[in-house]
Amino acid sequence: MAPQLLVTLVFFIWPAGQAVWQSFLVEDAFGLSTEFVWFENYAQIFTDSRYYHTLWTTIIFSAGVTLMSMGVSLLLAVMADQVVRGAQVYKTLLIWPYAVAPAVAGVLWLFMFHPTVGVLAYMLDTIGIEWNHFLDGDQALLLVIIAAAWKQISYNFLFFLAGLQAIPQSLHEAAAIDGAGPGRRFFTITFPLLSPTTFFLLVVNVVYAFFDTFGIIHAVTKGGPGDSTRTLVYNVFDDGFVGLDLGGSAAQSVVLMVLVGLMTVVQFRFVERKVQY
Amino acid sequence: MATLTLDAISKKYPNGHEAIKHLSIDIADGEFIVIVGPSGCGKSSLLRMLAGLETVSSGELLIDGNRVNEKEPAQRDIAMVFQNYALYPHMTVYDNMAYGLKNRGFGKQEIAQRVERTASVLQLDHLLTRKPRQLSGGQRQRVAMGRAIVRDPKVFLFDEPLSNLDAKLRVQMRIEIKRLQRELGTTAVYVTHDQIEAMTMADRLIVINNGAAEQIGTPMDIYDSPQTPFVASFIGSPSMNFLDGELIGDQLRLGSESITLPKKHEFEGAVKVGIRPEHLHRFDHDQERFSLNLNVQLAEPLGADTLLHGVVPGANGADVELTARLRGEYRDVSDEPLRLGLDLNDLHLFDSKTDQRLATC
Ligand SMILES: Nc1ncnc2c1ncn2[C@@H]1O[C@H](COP(=O)(O)OP(=O)(O)OP(=O)(O)O)[C@@H](O)[C@H]1O
Ligand SMILES: [Mg+2]
Repeated sequence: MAPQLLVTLVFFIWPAGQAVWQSFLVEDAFGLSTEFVWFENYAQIFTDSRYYHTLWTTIIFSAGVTLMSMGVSLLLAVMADQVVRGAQVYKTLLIWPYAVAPAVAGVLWLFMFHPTVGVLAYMLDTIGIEWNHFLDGDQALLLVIIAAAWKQISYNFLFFLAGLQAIPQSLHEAAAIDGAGPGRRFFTITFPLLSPTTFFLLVVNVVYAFFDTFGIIHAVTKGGPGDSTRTLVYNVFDDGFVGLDLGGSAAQSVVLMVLVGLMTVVQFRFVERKVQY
Repeated sequence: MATLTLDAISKKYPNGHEAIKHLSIDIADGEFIVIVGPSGCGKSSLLRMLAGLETVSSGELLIDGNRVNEKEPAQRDIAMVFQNYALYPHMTVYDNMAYGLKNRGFGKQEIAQRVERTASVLQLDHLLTRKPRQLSGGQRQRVAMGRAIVRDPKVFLFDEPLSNLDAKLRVQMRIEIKRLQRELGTTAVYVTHDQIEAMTMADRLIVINNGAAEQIGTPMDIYDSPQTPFVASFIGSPSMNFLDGELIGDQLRLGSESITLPKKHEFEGAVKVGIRPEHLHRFDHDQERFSLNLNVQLAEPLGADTLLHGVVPGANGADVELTARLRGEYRDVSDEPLRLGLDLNDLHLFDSKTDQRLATC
């Protein structure tokens, strides 16, 4: 058997199969007995208005995280590219936030934005913005978006920087001689040539925002206040491991998988074609 | 169309390296100037200063009499053809050529007209919708040319534009570039390290060594009277041979021989004697006053000519390597050295200390 197949089987198909199987079961609170209930768990999800609210939150959250992490890292990469063009030191220095565990990043942000002791909260207060993400749902959502985006920035940054450095200097020079100013050069030369990287990062970041952010949300807001920062993946985590509704949680994760799978297919079918040159 | 004036141009990089040292030249309208020199001598640095891609460290650069030192590349109205062509990979051939015009605010119709006219001159008509990666090396080269021509700039700059092509295509493009430049009458500065390109294309040559212009002149001037041994060995193929000699009055001592020179020099002392391989021929008893005994080690037949590589006895009995280019085939198989003759007017004499050509009087 090909090793790739084995890896796929062990790390993806098998757990996915487990989740699908789980999603057809209902377990009692003590884990003593299980009952096969067909699609009851799914029916429950789709009749729950709270679930749709979570879906909406997830969409805002994911769009926010993707836009912010990619935008900021592209900006940083463009600036760094102009400075380094070949040097290696910066890259290794800037990779460190990626190494920081999401929870630590979350706690850090939590700390800086803490309504009473946080540095940033204090600064916001001095310019007349009252910051309290324990009470204000929008602020809480913004906070987890920033925190989640922050963690992804160095990863995106490295890819953008590598992509930028792969563009030969002579293309910039040819464009400069052709009468294009810096801004025009960026939008007509740099950005189009970067689009394969951008597309790749788009897929990675969307998947990240959908799947890989419950740790941050758990550490920063625990889904609150109210349900304002409760995303699909946090809901899976919360219902399953906190609420111990394993069947419901499994059904949700299957829905999530299908959703991300669909999105990835859409991205590849409709966007990828446009980014090749 | 424009004149170009370089007045004591220097380039010092931030790391302290002085790539170009006080270079001056007046380039006439429509002239084809070739900059030639070994790798790393500063050719690209000079060209990039003209383009505005590098700052000029000192000196003055004028296009049509106007100082352009501080002008951006876009404002200088020059076009440049890069060694790797630097075509925009995500644009079609048409868009590649139209890009510069669009940026300069030309109308759609004017752009279409110009691009189509240029494309037909360069025989690119049928390739306009292709992307660069779908083109052959020669076609890419043409597109790069087209991108330069279409804007009708004041000056063309070329940085080794043919070095990525195979030998045959290089000859073809060399002729084509020269022909186009003539037709358009656009001033051109062309960088190469290929001395055949330099000789054949240039109205005037700048031979650069270590950032300094060793000689500026027409190709034949430089070939006939190179100012330094460096220039002499760089222009002409195969390279000029050098022997050590001594000049006393009109007597040139070369090894054990003493030769009476036809021309007088105001110099006495150690000299480098330069002999071009193509000026050597089989010794002819009736006419020659001078001969060299070449121990042939290797013969390279070129068809019409044959290159002979070997050694001649030099001063102090040491052997000196020498190359000769003889007409026709070389069939001598004897172990005897080959006697070579030479017209003494073809000798080049350089002061051994200053490396400058000796003036005759
Ligand atoms: N940005 C730079 N900073 C410092 N030194 C440089 C820079 N660019 C070039 N040099 C140095 O300046 C010298 C001349 O470089 P340049 O590229 O002009 O040579 P060249 O004659 O074009 O050589 P080649 O034929 O190999 O292209 C070289 O020694 C090079 O190392
Ligand atoms: Mg160069």
